[in-house]
Amino acid sequence: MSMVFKYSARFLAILAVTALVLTALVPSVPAHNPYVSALSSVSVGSTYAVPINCPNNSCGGKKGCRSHHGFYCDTSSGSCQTSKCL
Amino acid sequence: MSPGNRLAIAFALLVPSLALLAGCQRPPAVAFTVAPARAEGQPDRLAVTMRIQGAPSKGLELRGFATTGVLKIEDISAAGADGAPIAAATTIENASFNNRTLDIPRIVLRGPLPPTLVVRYTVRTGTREGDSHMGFTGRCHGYFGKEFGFTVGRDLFLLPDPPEALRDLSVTFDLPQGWEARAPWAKAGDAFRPGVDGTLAAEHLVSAAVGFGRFHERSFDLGGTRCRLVFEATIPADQEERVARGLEAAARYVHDLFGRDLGPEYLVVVVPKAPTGDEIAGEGWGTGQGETLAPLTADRLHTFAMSLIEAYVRHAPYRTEIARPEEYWLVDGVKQLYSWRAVAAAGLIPEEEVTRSLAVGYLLSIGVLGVEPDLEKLYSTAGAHRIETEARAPFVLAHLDHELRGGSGGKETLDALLPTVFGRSRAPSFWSIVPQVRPDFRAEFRTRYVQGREIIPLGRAYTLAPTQPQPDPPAGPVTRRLTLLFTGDTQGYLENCGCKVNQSGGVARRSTALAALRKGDPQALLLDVGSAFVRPEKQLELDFLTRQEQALYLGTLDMMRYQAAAVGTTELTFGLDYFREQTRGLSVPFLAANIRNDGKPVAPATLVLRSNGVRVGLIGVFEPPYGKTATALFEENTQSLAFDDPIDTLKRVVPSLRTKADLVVAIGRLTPYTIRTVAASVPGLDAVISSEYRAPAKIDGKEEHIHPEDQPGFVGRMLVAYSSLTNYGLSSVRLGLDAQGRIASAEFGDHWLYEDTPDDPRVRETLNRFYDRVGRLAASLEAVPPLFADDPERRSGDYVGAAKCAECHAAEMAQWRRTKHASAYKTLLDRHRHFQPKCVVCHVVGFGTPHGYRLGMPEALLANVQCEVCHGPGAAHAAAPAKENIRREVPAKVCLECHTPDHSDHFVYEERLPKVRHDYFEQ
Repeated sequence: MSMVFKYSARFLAILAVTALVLTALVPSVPAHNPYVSALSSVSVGSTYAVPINCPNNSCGGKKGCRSHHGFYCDTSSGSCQTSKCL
Repeated sequence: MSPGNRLAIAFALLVPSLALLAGCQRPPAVAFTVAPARAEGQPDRLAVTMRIQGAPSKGLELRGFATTGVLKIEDISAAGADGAPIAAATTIENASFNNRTLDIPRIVLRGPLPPTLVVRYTVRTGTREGDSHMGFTGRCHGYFGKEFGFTVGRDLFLLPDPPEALRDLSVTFDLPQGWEARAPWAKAGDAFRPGVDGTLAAEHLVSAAVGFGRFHERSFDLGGTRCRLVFEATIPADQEERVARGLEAAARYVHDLFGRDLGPEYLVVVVPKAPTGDEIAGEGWGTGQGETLAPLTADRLHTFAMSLIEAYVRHAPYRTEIARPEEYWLVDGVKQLYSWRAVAAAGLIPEEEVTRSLAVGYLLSIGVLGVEPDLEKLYSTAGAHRIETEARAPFVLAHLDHELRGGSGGKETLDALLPTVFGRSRAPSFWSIVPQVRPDFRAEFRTRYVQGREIIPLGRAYTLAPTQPQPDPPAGPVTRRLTLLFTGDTQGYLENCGCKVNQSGGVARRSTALAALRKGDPQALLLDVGSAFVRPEKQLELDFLTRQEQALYLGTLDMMRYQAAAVGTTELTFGLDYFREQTRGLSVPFLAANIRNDGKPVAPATLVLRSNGVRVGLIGVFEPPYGKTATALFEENTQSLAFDDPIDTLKRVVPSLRTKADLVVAIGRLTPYTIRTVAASVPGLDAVISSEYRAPAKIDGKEEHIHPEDQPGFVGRMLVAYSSLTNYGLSSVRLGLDAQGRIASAEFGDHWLYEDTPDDPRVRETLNRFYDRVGRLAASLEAVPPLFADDPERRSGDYVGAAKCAECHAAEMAQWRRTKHASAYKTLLDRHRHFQPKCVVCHVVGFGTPHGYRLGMPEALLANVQCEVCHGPGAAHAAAPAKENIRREVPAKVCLECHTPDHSDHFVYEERLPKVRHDYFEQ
């Protein structure tokens, strides 16, 4: 029976080493990519990704606000700065 | 090796293998049956029955694939095959997406479970996007009514977790007599079987667009892919024909571009708008798509083309996958650029408009806080990247295309690279196949423009020649003067609401400014160059109060003695009938030389006015907006109208008007590009005043000085002016004419209507009387729904007022008195908006609810933003004080109900919360 344990141990060791090697060799997948499954929560969000309460304007320099989809003119820092809506 | 040893080795391998297999139980099979709920008063509900076979004994979780705001599950129950009930607990899974928290429903069925389960639930379809207070966006998620139905899989189905393991799914529909279901799934008998080649069953189920009702079908072949268009039967034949032509043209363009087929079939479910007027949002995948596509507009065709391109570049199972993360941006760039080019290929927008529009978008994104300049980092940096993917990536590709063509004499194009990049399941390195049209071209382009080290030199290829300060050739010495005062794109803006930082604009101030300008030239002409009607961004049908405000706004044009106005975009957005209804009885004439309805002009084409002895001939002209600048509402409501080419119209009308006028001026909407063509091809036209000013333009002729707006000045001999102050001000131009009546000089003026411009008392009084009279009408009150639509307790609860709260909470009351909330109602009084329901709703307690504030009630009781706005109705708490019957925590969404960017543009919840917390002044 010692042979059984011996080969079992070897088999498990090979499995562990293989897993470690694969982990090291396979390039790290970036956190985000364009190929998200329709089942992922990212797809849930992007399906309904409409900017919420976005004023859709930008700072027009000397000419004040401009209609501009997806942006807002932020004046909280004391000067106008166009920022993008989330 | 001895047989004994071999046996031992085999046994050693078998033991862990069996152990592994024991944990991998076969996934359950799910058979769905979908039917109308058939319950009284629930026509918008669908009943879903899930028969789950092979459920794990230990328990099962069912998860949804849409947010709880859209996938509205009700009446869920579970039972074994024998009918024995099983407890089903509904929970919420929180997922994060671009700094937002998504609430996704999850149903927990605790074990031990029998192998066969039956789960039943109903789904309420048709969630409208947006909210009743801030307005709806005009889209809804699904629809089910007596005419037809439409949904996408994620708005209907739950699936056992993990869904990726599921192989055996089927869907059967039990629909009203004569109805059928159309979905992009294979059919086996009566049941649909989601999945492609035995895989991806769950993804196929969730992403499918499903139509219910009666349908017509048309089809065409895209190579080896049969493209089936199924039209909901109430779509009129002429609309169906136009949609079919547009979809086929765009689909053929896309297919030719990628040079390969998708699967054997691609199903497009074409439905009209919901009877509520909302666009029905759809979804696409590798096997099809569906949404509101009829009647066809450029915007809808763009959505279709994007979805189709995504089948090639993004979605399983037919996508080409880009291996290098630094090239992921190509997916977005190709989708955005070529979806617009597909719309152009179908003839709905001019080809050159695509590049122009993208160039403007790119220019506007420069210098914007939070925009990632390096496209190669889009998928490795956190946050939303809509601007980068929708504006920057496609324009970088458009510029690459431009450079390839320019560098090769037209032999090399981006289009020609696409079949190589997206022809197989794995894409080769993009940069390895980009031709070196000059030494180091690839590396330079990538570093400069893709990685964002430099800004694309718009000045070289995409900009307009700058306008000049003097006419060319020059006119003679000035003998007469003439002043034109003009506004445009004012969008029915009566006055600022009083709660934003940018407080410029308003008709009462405009009237004051006009009086001052008229002192300089009493015969100055006052014109509006279009889009004086209310902005329709958030309403599909204008409510009573907004209509009244619109009528008031137009009435003030008469008060200010406007002498002519052009028909513009917003005048037509709600249809010709609405335009006619609103302008009936007005003194100011609206002009439109190139808009026809049933062959007849919708308004007079021209008008001759006199000023300082000069006969000024005015022509109203309109160039319709395309693509991103056009709303679906405008496109749909103007389908019955014909827009003649504005240049041809001017060529035709100007010579005859010239005989009656000394000076001929076109007013309306013409893009700066069209204006350049007009200047070159309509010699008798002296001036154009346009409401559309956006275009990348050189300011002073230098390539690096690019501005996203064209500047006023001269193009050749023709004067160009823009109403670029929109609703915030008015503009003027003081013309010097020579003895022959030619424009010799022009002095442009911008007149901002900031707070230092006082209200004209006469207009102010008109506005105040309007608020007092119209605001109190029942129809106006109905037009403004109460806050907190999703909170029944707040909408029906009993409010007691802050004085009652103070009996026990004196310290909190003292602190509250020092906040701006305590004087919120005074803000209304100061600006005379205390009868304007749109304002009042956010300055009092419970406005519009049965027990809340009503117009005219004593202020002390429920005026101001009192305790119960944050903590909820307090009658129960006041009667029997307990922590359990009052809301101590105030989530951000309560504050954001009123502190929206439209009304509270400095508001950052985290920064402002400490200022109203009851412990703030104690720290």
